Amino acid sequence: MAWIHADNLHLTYRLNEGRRRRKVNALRGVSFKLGTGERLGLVGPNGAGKSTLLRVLAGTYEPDTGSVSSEGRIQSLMDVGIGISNELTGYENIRVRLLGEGLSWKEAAERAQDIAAYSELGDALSWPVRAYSRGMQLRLSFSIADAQGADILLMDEWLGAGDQDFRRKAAERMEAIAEAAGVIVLASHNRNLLRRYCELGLYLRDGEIAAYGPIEEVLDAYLGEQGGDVKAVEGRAQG
Amino acid sequence: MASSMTRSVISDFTRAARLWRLAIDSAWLDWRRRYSRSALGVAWVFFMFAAFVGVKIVVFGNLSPYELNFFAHWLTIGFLLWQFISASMTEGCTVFTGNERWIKANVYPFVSFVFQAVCRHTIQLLVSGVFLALLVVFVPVAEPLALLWFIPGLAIYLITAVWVQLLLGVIAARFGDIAHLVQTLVRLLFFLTPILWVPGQFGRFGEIAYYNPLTHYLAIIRDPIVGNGVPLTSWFVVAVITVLGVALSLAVFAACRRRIVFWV
Repeated sequence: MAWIHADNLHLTYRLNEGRRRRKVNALRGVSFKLGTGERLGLVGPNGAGKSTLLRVLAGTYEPDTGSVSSEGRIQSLMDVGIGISNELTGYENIRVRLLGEGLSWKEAAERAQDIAAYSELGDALSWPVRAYSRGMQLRLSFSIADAQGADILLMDEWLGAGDQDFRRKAAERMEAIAEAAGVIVLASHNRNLLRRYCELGLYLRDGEIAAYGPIEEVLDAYLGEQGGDVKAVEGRAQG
Repeated sequence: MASSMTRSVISDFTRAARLWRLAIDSAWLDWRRRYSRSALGVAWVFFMFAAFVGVKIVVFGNLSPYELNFFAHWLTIGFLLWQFISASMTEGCTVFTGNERWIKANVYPFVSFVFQAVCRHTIQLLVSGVFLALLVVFVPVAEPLALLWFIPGLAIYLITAVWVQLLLGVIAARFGDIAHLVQTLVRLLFFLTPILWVPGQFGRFGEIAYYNPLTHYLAIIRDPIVGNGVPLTSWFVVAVITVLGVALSLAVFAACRRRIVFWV
């Protein structure tokens, strides 16, 4: 039984940007409940708080007030290269992450073999990751994340990246989780993707919920307000 | 609020402790990576230490009024410990900023980055320590049994390294100037701490050295070995600093833990 509840999330933070510090009012009272098998699409203009919300759900950011409660293993696929060291080889990266799961050296070495095979990176596994192409990095990140299994999947514009083969793998992954009645939260500007994978939608505007409900209705509300902008963004995403 | 903060800190520490294999493995990988293009590999840590100390013994030993054997032990132990102290301070500042990718991925507890750094510096200490071991075999120290003071001494060093790096890591993540300040300070402290010189050689002026806490940190291990007896005052100073330092470090970490992810 996988579920995730967000209860009245508020979060304000300051980011270090060179010598200046910028204050971000990222979330202002966001609440929703997702139960088994529910798939939520997050929409909203850039800076509306979509990524922040995903990070709060993942536990990376702790909210100022409000709380997230969940059951099931959470997997978050946010930025490429997060959780991967450029200096280590692909294989070392896999092993280190497994040790980070609390596995013993022997267990980590065994599991690492499986993940290495699954990644289909072959010889490249003995290269440092800085020598990888973006697609290869994605493949590595994804293989590591995938091997850990998940009931709740959090994704940020993930499917748009990588080559065809990779996108297929990622899509299969989402479908597998969906079939296993897991929970998916997907932030995207890609309308078709959202329609295909999500039945629920949440429209974030300036850190607040502007619309919440069936994906079509939420997309209509969003597109109605942002019309021109969205078409431009989608044009770029598809081209 | 306060109790949930305490709970978060405790869980951070226990999770990090459970990941001890990760700390050792990452530390070792770090050293291997630094020397990955060299044939000698991590042995360079030893050779660099040996060359540095060897030259210093020759140059400063001749300038020192003390017997060469005494000075060789004084300097080797002092520099060995100094290397650990200076690494803890300078690299403590980057313990979080340097691990941004993992912090943002939220895969490891914060304290595990501190443990990784402490392991890295401990490896350096052990590899360089081979030089001291060889030296002691060929040139016996004044009190060979006193070498056992390394055991309680290093226990204190490990505790100190953890609280110092946790504290500096948080502060340096928030304030960009701290890393540079600490680096400058460490360079000055190298000359202000009795490593290349012995306080006694400057008479009353040399006593100023005892206002420098690092003098006491070196003394607790070095003094008994070179035949100066067990420095009770220094143990007292170190104990007080340890208690206060641990408390300060935990308080700062508890107060800022939630914000570190935005600062790095």
